[in-house]
Amino acid sequence: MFDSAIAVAIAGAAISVFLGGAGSAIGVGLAGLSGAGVISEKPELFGKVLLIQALPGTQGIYGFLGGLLILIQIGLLGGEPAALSLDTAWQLLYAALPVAVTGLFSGMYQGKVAAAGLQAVAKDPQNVGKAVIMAAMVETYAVLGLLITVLLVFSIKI
Amino acid sequence: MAVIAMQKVQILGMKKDLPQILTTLQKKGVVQIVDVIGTENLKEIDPPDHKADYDIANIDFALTFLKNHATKRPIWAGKPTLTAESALGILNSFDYETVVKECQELEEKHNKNLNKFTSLENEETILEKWKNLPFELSTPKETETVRLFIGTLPTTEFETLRKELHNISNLSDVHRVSEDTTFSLVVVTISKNSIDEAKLVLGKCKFAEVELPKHDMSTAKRLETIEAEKTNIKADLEEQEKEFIRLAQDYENLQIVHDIFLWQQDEKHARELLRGTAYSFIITGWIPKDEKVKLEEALEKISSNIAIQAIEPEKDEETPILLRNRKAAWPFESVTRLYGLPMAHEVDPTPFLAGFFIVFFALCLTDAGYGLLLFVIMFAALKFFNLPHESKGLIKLLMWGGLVTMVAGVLFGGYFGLTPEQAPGFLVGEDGNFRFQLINATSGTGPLTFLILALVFGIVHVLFGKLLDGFWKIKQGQYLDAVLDSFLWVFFILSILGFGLSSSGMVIPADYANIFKWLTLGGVVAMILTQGRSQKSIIGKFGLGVLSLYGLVGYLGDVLSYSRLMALGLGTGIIAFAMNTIAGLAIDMIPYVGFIFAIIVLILGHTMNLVLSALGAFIHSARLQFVEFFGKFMEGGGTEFKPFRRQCKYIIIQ
Repeated sequence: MFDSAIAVAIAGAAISVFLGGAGSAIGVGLAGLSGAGVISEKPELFGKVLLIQALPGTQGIYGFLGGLLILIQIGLLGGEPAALSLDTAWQLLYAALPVAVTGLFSGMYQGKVAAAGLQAVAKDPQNVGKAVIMAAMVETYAVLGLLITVLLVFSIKI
Repeated sequence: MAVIAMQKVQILGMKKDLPQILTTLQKKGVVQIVDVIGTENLKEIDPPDHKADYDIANIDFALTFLKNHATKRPIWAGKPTLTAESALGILNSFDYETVVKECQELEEKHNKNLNKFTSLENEETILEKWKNLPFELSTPKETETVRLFIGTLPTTEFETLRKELHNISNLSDVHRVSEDTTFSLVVVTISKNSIDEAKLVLGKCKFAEVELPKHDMSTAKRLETIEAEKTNIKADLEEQEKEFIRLAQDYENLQIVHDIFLWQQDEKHARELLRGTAYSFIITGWIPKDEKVKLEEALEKISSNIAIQAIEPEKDEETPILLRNRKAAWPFESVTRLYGLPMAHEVDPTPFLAGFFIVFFALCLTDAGYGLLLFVIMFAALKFFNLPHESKGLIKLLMWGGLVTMVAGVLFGGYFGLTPEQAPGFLVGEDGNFRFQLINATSGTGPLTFLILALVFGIVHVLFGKLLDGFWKIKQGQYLDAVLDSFLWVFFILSILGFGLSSSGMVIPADYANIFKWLTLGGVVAMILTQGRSQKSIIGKFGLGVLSLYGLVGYLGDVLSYSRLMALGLGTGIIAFAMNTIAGLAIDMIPYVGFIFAIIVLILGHTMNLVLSALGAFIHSARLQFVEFFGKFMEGGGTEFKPFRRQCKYIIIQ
């Protein structure tokens, strides 16, 4: 019983990391495709392109953060694993879902917005600020997901 | 500290003074020249020649050509910085035309040499294989009786070829020059009598003829001459390298001259907007009102026949926007500009967003260590780097952001994500917590306190935006709109908040609940009665009034949006903590050299976290301004004031 509880909690951490990471990977990939097209025409814009390409990368970090918090809470990182009940473990797994799922979708769609924004930057490099902000609008929901995950993980009594 | 008031003016004068007037205007850089309107009977001023365009193109070529040979300016030195006088002096004394011409000649010579060298190398690779060819390269391929084939064939076919050719005619000969496992290079001699059959055999054996370069010497001899020619070209190229370096010494001068021609090009574009008669001219433009007198004085010095008169802008003509802010608020213009400029009749949001922006930025980081780092780096950049004026704003913004982040970090107990046990002793008080720490965001009720703090900031920010809207409307004389669209909303939201807080007994005593209840109800009635006042029918007025209550949902959404401050602030600390944990694991798990890995993890990890978190903090603080705050009082969309001035690409004019 004790072992399967740890396994469920780890599953929560894993879901958080891999869905967030997948969303970012897709998003950064999409933006990168568009960015490579831009720098083939205007290599001097590399810095700005890189900035916008990096934007959909935050979901991966949020997911990583969610996973890490769970690992810390259950004491897997250095030290003795906590004596976890199966109920608590499931709570931790559910707590991971907000950041995981919002991270997946917002990462994908932020990538699309970033890719489109890069086209605007290609036309006029002055647009970089506006492109960044538009991409950041999508990120809001991953931030909110992270917020709830963090609050939940902190408030679950181990 | 505001959107600067603009005046549209006409400058009238005599054509003989025009060059001097344009120079003065460009030097002052306070007038944006626009099309002259309503003067169909006036002619265009003779457009000047296109010499500047031509010069700029030439110098651009020389700059690209010499780029790799110019001495690199160290990164902190920035662009060459000088006064306009010394720049113009260089234009007079520096013979840029010769330099450009020499660059063009050098390019031609250089390319010729490079091409020659490549073709020699190609020839060498081919001839290398034919080194043992037993006759001169220019030997004719046929005589009256004999035809010579030079070419390659698969080594496996060689014996077949020899036998079959021998069968056709014993006058034929196959000589192998060289071979490897796949191909043989051969010379085939065939009597012309049997040439047709021989050709069939050659085809069968997959023989491919090769065209060798013609020279009156043996292959070996030719290879020697190629080597000699290559050496010559190399010497030539080295010579040209010196030439490159010599010309590149003028790189900076070329940049300076380039920018002066850029001014001349701008002047030409400005001239295209002027109109005039045979002897006089008209310039139409926009000028900041407070600069007009100074410009008048400057122009009077040129001639007494110059007049500046204020004119009315056309209907629907957009006034260009110039923002001017005090020293402290000025760096925040970079945030406003990110969104776009306000319209001429709107308020400049820069001074009002400054405080909020920097506090939000700090809350998104909340780490004293990161704040200190950011402050020191940006301070050093300002101190030791020669930056153009425009980039200084952002750097200053980040520097002050770093400072406020330090304060926030101390209040939240964030020091590179260290726990009190890991932190150096002087930071930790006697009770085992950080000194001066007010909120511990990662334990107990800390996260909730942080969240509430973020939302309170949100309420203050949003209501401040609405109040700003009201006061600006009063300033514009729209008293009714100010009261009903702005102040009524603020009153309504505050009374709902008061009712909520007092009825649950938080912050405000429960005794006041009744008062707030009536205030809220009053607010509801006032909203329903007034918010639909633009509608014509009674039902329309009433319906829109009821519908306006739905606007509350928007405000709720706005305020909740500020929860990101807490999420980002926590995120920075937790990632920093994670980096420390990973570094700690490296020390524990890797014997002896673990600390090296730990140091690498700490440096890379914290750098990455600082960069990404600062970027996120900037973006999200900016977003809160643009979406939640600006939406309350401005639309934006103003066009920038672009004065006719000495703009530079490569240099900075002091």
